[in-house]
Formats: sequence, structure tokens, C-alpha cells
Amino acid sequence: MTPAQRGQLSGAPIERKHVADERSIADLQRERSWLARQKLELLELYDLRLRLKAQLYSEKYSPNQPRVPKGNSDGGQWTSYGDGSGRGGRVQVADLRSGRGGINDQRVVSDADPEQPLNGRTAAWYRGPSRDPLEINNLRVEGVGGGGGRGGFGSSPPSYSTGGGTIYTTPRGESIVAPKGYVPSEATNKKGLVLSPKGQEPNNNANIIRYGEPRSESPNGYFRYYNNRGQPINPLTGKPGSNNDTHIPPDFKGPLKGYPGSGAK
Amino acid sequence: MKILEHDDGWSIEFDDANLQMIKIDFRLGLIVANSIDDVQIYLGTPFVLSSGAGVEQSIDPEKTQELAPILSLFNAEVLRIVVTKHGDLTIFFRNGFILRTGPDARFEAWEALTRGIRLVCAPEGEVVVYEFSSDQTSQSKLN
Repeated sequence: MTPAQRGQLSGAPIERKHVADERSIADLQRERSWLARQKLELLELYDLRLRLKAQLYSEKYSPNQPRVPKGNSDGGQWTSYGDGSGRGGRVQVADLRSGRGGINDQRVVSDADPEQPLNGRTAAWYRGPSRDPLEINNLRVEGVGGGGGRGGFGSSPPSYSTGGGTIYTTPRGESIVAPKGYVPSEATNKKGLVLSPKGQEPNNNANIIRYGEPRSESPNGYFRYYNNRGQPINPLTGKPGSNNDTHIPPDFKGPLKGYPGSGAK
Repeated sequence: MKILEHDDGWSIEFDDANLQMIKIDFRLGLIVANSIDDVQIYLGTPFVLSSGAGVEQSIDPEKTQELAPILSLFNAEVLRIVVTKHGDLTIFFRNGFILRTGPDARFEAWEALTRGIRLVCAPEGEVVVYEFSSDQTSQSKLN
């Protein structure tokens, strides 16, 4: 066989491989597009189910609903299984549009006596193990909890739109509820996240919510939120407060007075 | 106003800018502006004010009774603000006064806001930077 013949023979399969690669790329693109459509449909179904559950909940809410017992790490929080053991119990993060279980809702998380669950506790953010699914009104939302460990949010923070607001999950697994119409901006060095009203100038702190990455003194990071005059707020009073009162740990359980979108001024 | 980024941080150079507003709540807010731009500085933890004669005073913005010396700087001309990436912030006034602050172990020490950029001195000192292009105010860069 001459070198020229070898070239022709060796050239043919290479050409076929090239065509195969192109086909593979086209297939991948179609597959990706199909997956994106499926994901969208799934999220719409989640949203629908969430609204139905919220509606059902509003009709059937009972203050005697089983809760994780005090002393448990999730103490006082509603459990989805109803056995009071805390197995699988998760903070319920709200459908903001319904106003049930949300930042306006004074009935949400409580570590108080289950007999008096309505004493002004709220949960606007949730902290759970990274990569855990998030449970929203007993609805498991896969892929929301956890952004993949330290080092930033990646190309975009995992988020789930409830229709009335959006829940953003930090790399550490903390989730922040952003009111409807808010947009996220990540720090250029991936060490923080600002949620602010869409269209608001960046030099305006009014009504923003900000998350800061963990440090040795705040190993789980911290949150701050601001009033409409751009002042950081003490969640217990809804008024401007000291540094100690306005750097809020993610596992804070208490009222979040004056939280943006809650209607407080 | 010019914002210059250096290896170690940023400097904001002013042309004919003054300390046009002082705000007091639990922080000290200083609004430095000229006819075109402004920079808002919010100091949340203790800082040092040095006079041209070398007298230094440590002032805690959460103790409002300590803030009186700042009032004399109202409308003073500001030459520049220098920020290091490790959280030191210095404001130079034309009258010789210098205001210096640095990071805090537990809290955000200061925040600087101006057109297109927000700098936050995170606890322990690293400066967290949020940059915005003009179209990002209506659409997040993450979306």
C-alpha cells in the first residue's frame, strides 16, 4: 500500500468521526433544550401544587398541627410527618404570594410552646445542610438546597420562584426569601449576595437584603436587611439598630419585623 | 470624580467635592459630593479622626455623644478617599484632617456606595465588591 493510499484510507474514518461528533452535538443540544423545557414544566407544577397547598392550608390551618419537639435542633418547627419525632421535619418557607407561611405570616416557625405557636415567629430564610432538598409547605424542592460548597454561588445562585417571591440558597445552604420583583447581585469575589428591588440604583440601600459569607466570628455567615431609608434593621423591633442587632445569623428564629416586602415602612 | 483601582485597593479622587451631608443613626453617614457625583460612606465601627495639628480622637459611631468633632467637618473639602482591599479606609480633607478606619472582627466596619459600585468591609477585613453596569439596575447580572 502506498503512503497516498494509506492517507485516503486513514482519512475516511476521520471524516466519519467528524460527522458523528456534529450529530452528537446536535443531539446534546436537543436533549438540553428538552431537559430545560421539562424543568420549566416541573417548576410550574411545583408552583401550582404550592398554591393549592397554600389554599388548603389557609382553610385547614390548625394551631395543634404536630411540631418537632423542643430540644430538637428543629424544635418547634412544623413537621411534615406529623409524628412529632422530628424525622424529616423542615422549616416551611413560604409562598409569598399567598401570604401563608411567609414573611408576613406571624404563624410560621416557633420554638415556643406548641400550644402557643402564633407569637410572632417568622422564617424568611432557611438554613439546612448543603444539597438537601428544600421543603416548602411540605413540598420537596429538589436541587434548591445547597450551591455546592464554599467558593461562591457559581454562575447563578440556586433559586426557586414561588410566583410571589424567590428563594435563593447560598453556598452554605442558607436560603433567603426575596420579595417579588427583587433581583440578585453577587459580589465580584463571590463573598456575598445583595437582593434589591428591580431598577433600584446600586448606590441606594433602601429595602435591600444582603448576605455575607461566613467568617470565624460568624461561622454561618450573616444577613442584614434595610428599611426604606437605607438603614440596617433590628429584626426584633423593625427599627434601625446597633451592629450587634443588625448582623443577623442565618439560624435566627424570631420575628423579622420590617423585612422588605412585608409591608412595614 | 475618578475611581482608580490599584493592586492594593482603590482611590477615589475628587475635584471640588465637599462633605455635603452628615447622617447619624447607629452609623455615621458621610456624603461627599460635587456637582456631578457623590460617594456615601457609612462608618459602623470606631474610627480615628486626626487634625492637621496631629491631635487624634477615637470615635465610636454607636456612641453619638462622641460624634461632635465630626460636625466641624461639615462642608469641608475632600481631596480623596483611599480604600485598601484589607479593609482600611482613609478620607483626606483639604484642611488637614484625616479620618481613618479599619476592619472589625465581628461586624461590617464600613460601606461605601457610589455610582456603579458598592464596597463593604466584611468582618475581619476583606472588602466585598459589588459592581453594577448601567443595565444591571433593571436586570441582574446573575439572570
